[in-house]
Amino acid sequence: MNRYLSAPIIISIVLLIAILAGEALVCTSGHGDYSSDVSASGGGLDFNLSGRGSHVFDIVVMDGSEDSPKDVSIYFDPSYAERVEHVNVAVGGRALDQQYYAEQLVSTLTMRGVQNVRIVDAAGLSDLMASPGKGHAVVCISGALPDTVYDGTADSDILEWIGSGGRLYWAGNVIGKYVSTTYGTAEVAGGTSLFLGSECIGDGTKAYDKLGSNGLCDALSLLNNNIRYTVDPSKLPEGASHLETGYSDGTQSSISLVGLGDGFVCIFGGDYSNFQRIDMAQTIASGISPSTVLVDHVHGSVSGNASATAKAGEHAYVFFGGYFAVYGELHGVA
Amino acid sequence: MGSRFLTRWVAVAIVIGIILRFAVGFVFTYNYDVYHWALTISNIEAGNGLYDVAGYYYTPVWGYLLALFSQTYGLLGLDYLGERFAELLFTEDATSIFPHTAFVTSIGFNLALTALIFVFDLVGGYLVYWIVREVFGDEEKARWCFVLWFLFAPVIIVGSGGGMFDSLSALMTLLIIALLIKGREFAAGLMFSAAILLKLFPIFLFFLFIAYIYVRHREDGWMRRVALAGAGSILMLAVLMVPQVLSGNVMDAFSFLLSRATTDDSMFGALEQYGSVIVYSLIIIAEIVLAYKFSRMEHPRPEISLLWFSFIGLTLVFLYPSTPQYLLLLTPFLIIAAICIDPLLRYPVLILMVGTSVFDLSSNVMGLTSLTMYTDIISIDAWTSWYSALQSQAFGITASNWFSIIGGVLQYAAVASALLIVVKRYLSKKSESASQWAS
Repeated sequence: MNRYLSAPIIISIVLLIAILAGEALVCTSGHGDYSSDVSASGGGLDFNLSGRGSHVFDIVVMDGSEDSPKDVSIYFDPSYAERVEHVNVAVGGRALDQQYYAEQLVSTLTMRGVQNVRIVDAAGLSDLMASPGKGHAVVCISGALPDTVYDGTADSDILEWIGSGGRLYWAGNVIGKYVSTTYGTAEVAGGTSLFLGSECIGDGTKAYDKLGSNGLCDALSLLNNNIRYTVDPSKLPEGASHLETGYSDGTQSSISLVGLGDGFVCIFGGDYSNFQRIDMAQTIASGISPSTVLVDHVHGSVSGNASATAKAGEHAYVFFGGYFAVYGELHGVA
Repeated sequence: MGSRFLTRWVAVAIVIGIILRFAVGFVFTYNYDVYHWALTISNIEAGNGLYDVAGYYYTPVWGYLLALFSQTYGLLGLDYLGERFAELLFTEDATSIFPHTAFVTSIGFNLALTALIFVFDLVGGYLVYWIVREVFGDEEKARWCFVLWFLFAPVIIVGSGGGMFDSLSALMTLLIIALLIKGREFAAGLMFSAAILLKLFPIFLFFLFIAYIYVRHREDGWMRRVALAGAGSILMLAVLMVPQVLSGNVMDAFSFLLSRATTDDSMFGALEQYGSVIVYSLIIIAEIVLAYKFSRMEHPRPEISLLWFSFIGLTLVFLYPSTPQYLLLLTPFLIIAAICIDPLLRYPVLILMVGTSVFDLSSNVMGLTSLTMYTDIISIDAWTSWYSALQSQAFGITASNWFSIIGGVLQYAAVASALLIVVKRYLSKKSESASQWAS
């Protein structure tokens, strides 16, 4: 063999080229690699789907869902006390604290087509509450709401904001139970009732079955089976608008949505986890609300065209990758 | 590959190795790690790079290769990576040395990964052959070393069953040595950085590599060659870390090293954290002493000495007990030393083969979940009863953890016995030169 091209040299060149090609792919992959164009066709929708690589797709058509929020504000203020429990992570993983959770949620939402995702502090959250909530979403993962928007009474800004159409996505502790200040947290007696109408948080911790009744768990490829801090629907006030999805122990589910005025509260079960974060992003991006009903679910391989049943006013959430989602987009049906 | 390499029985060994690998990949895949590779791929494809969201905890090189891998199987139309099964959720609550997951990767994905790692195993094996042929000039022993590596049970189980890429780590370390032997210090430097950004262990041989360049080129511009190696290493380090520097998450690339013990607040966690720092510090000192000794000895055959001292250096590294896959880095050096230098080392080879296989297979029936959930070969009821049996306890320890303990003890015994043989050999040939010690 040529003295300049011995076996180790050839192997090294091929291997280094492979590594560098992979690095280039890591740097250049993104949301722009995928698309899902939709057009009305008779009594349904036609989709033109395309993407880099090879993926499965899901088209989830829902009635009673919301449009994608105009913006999502994730509350994180390190100067305010939090009320969440420390969780262990996989060996080698970065500690999953509130900041890391919030930062990851921005990326997880953006890849699902959610626009204008930002992190706000306690003052920023208060500013947000000055405008009506319709079309806007707030995520709170601190386990306690800051005293700038919540004082433990029915007059709290955040309750008015939700009532005006805002969407509050909650995780980390019992909703309404704690007020956070820069000095610590204070417990609010009956705080949960302000948000949910009653003291209805269940005692369950984990569920081992998918909630099959409304089909959303499978359709949205939901992951988190922790039900701590979620609603026991039997304890909700009569006539309350609510929806459960995810995993269920027969009483509670891993995701609870409860209506409040023109808006709603959505609670994700358990302490922090990556599955919880992914479910949160999937729930926000898909626009599901307490009155959502699954109309159609189409599953296949991303390669050209697909069609689904839908009518005006409904929404179609398209995502690629199934349980390993790489792209998502919510389409309203005109 | 030359015709001298591919004799009839080497070809037979390759065919047997391929069949075994794909059989293991089809039947037995430990989903916990393989699920994380699928997650890593989806994070990359979603535009989140390697570290923007959780899922990938290693240094970046394997992530880059997964990115390329995803495009390859994508071309073949493999679109379904796996799913989360409610029937297996209960397993995630189990306390086990190897964690369990209800995520089950598809058989297609498992086999695609098997194919990728098979390439590493084969090329790594060829490098073992090339190095032995080049250094010892013995074709027959070179082929034996290849066959032993390629059919070594832990190499097959770790790669095809565990989906772990440690045979690539071994391959890259062998490449560094081959390039040094060929006097290609710049290329060796490039490969060194790529290797330590795959898995850090080759860094323990850093001082030895410098000592080798010094010994080999003492009167032939050794400083210039070291500088060339350093330049190659820095260049590759810079190139491979560009995405992390640009996205501001350089530290995340080393989270596996920096944060692994911070996840456990118990006394065991503290012991792991501080114990590993102390032990690895001592190992680094030992590696420096080893390299210094190498540089001070006479070497009629410095290449033989390099292989022998690399074997000793890596044996020292694994004095700190490790999980089974890491031992793949030591394996080719142990095989070469056993076949070409000291036949007594064949016993540690044998013990390592049994111990590491048992240790790695102790994830038990969790490895059968793909077969259970995607085929009719095993029913979920049968699988659940096997799982329950292996979760039954004796003396407060589950049966599957007993397998881990027995396998782990045997694996450690292999490392310890190899080192004892080295010490015995050193004591009996103390007055002789390094190459005599190593030949």
